[in-house]
Amino acid sequence: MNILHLAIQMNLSKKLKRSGWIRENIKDPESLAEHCFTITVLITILSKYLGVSEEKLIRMAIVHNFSALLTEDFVVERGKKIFKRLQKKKEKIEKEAIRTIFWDYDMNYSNLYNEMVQRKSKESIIFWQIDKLATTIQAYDYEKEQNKSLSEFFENARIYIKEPLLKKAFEDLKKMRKSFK
Amino acid sequence: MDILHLAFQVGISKKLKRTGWVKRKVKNPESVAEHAFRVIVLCMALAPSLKVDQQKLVKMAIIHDLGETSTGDIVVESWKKIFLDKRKKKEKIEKEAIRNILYGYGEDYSNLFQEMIQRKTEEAKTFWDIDLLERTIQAYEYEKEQGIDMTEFFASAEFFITHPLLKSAVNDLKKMRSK
Repeated sequence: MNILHLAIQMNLSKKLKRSGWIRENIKDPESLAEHCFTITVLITILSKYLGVSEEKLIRMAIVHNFSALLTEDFVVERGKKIFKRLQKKKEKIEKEAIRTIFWDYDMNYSNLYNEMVQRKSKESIIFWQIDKLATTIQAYDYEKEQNKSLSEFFENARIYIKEPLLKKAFEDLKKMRKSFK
Repeated sequence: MDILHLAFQVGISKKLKRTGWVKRKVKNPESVAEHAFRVIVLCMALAPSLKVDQQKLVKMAIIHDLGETSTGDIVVESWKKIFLDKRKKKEKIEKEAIRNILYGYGEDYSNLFQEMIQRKTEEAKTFWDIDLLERTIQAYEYEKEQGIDMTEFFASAEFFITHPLLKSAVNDLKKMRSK
């Protein structure tokens, strides 16, 4: 077991800025680690209300952008469009990244990852909704602070966010957005 | 329950730069959120080998700096010294801040936070060791990239980290540093 090796690899997640924000020329965009931390906190607090396993969702949060640590932070969807081929590519790299980074640790991440990308179990469905909600809230912040138009992030989130509690938060966010626009 | 309110509050941790780095004029210093995320991953990965309750350790990592979104990041130690009065005060306001942030969600984690700051259980002791190890690794990275002397952080780590596995990681890091 090499603790330093793991930690130094994880350092990249602090340095990598999320591609979607870079494309939109956001000043000081959030890093992958910052995004992951946000969803981890939301998961911890909301799991019991959403009826999902907190532990499983936290693990999903940890690995859901791992491909970026090996290659790049892929943007696999924009607005209502999903780029299926790119998504497959990302998933393949992600699995490899999980194997490489966690190879020495007793954690069954590969199965979990399959569950996550199949998007069939309750946990995986809720996980992606929380991920989208966090991204949309960040988009809202940037729109307000940096005077950007980031509608496609809201359009994209709308496809996913169905769980009543999360949907309520999303609807509230849209109302807030209207009131300053 | 107000999910947006909670998310905005957590969002502050992305903007909050860690005081220890700001004071040493590190360029683009990490945020509290970035630090917390790596501590979470380390807790998750290392808990089985360290023979501690993984769920507890990860939860400690998640909440340990959440209070800073209200209080700011206050530094309470230097080299081998801890300013106990200052630390006590910091922990008290952080505990209150966490309760406020999580008010209305059924659980305010005050028992867990209390356990953390008493530093008596295996989980609490191990958690602070990991927190410190993460910081030392970050110091190593800044020293290497930006040429800033971070000897103080290595001195603290050597002095405070006690778990054998984590201690050996610090020793490895020191070897890498001397090269």
